[in-house]
Amino acid sequence: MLRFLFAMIIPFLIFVYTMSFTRWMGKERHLAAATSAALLGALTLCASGATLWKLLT
Amino acid sequence: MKNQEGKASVAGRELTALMILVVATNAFLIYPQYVSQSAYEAAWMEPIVSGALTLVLFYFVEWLMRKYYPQLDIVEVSKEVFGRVIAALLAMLFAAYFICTTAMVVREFTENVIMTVLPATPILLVGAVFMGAVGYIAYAGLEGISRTAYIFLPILLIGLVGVCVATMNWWHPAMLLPFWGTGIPRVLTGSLEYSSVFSNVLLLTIIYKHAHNPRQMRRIGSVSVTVSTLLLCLLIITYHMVFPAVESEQVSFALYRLARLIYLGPFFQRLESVFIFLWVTAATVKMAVTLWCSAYLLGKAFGWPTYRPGIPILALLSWSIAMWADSWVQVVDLDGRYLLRWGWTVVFVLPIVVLLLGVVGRAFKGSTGEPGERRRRRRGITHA
Repeated sequence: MLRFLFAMIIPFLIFVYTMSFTRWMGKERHLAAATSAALLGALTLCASGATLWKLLT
Repeated sequence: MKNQEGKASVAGRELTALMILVVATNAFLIYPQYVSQSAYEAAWMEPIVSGALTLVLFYFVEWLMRKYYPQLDIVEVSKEVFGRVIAALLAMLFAAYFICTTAMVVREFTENVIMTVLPATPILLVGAVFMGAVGYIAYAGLEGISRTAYIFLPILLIGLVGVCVATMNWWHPAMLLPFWGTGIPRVLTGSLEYSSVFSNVLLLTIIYKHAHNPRQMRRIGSVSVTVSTLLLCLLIITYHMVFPAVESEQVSFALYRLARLIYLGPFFQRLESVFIFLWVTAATVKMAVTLWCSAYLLGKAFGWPTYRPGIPILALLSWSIAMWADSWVQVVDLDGRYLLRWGWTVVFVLPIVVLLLGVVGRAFKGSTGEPGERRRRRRGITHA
């Protein structure tokens, strides 16, 4: 479990980076762009979490 | 994308290098295994037939792009033809193809590296380092990737031709007989089935507007398809002159098996480790191209002001998909069964159908007054 949490640091940081990109696009009134990037970020965080969970636990 | 990323301008020789790398890198992957399965001794003919088909389609698509869509890419053409929603769906399909290709290549190379030179290193780490390098190159944009490809092309040539020539003392030309292998129908079917390795046509519809001089595109296409066809053909001929065709279909990393045979005297041992470094370098550039394409297409489809912040998340997604498979056998099976066998529908059929529907739509609407024409006029863009 500890290995999984440690390994999730990089995916989580990439997710935060994507969310900041999303927030910036939202401020610039690119709503479709912001929504798509947020969905992609969430999907990828789930996918990487599932992969790491499968391999490390 | 109104910033400088949308206006990348790439020289002809760099685009040629990029396309050669993207196609010829398949020599290190499972392509030799699958063409060997399909045609046995005549496997070397399949890249020739696929290359000829690609060249014809490339000229046709280049003509369509030059005549009707000189300043547009495939997503913009889709928007003009089908509207935003279907264009977004098509772009997602293309992007998914590129993401899956990146994932398969990274997993196959990761397994190759682990099996050959880094047996004690965790697969997650090797894959992560791969994706880090790929993401870094892709983040540099199309110009950066193309220049990297131009620099690394000689490395690929040395890595491929070097292995073939250095195993010359093992060649048995008689092993290439019977000449037609499993027969002409099987050779032609296999050529069509596995033609998706020549992704030049799809790449053309994405990078056409980024060419510094789009009039050079025919030359770029002909040189890149010819050189990559010759490289694939050379490898397969060499491999089948060294190992029997029946045995070849069971080997996933043909080049490594050849490289193990190289003997240049007692002072040059284990040369395959040098070649693996060269192949991995070439594969990194290929993956950077596919990753860039996926980010670019998604950015275009959903109106992202810049695609670059999407690169890290797409690299992570590719890595996650790559590491999900249980074993290398499963990866090879999935790649061969879906991407390699059905990839031609995405690489050839879909872009050509979109472009042709656009041309037919324009013909119905008349030469003036259609939405795409009005939009280009507003932007002040004229046909080349």
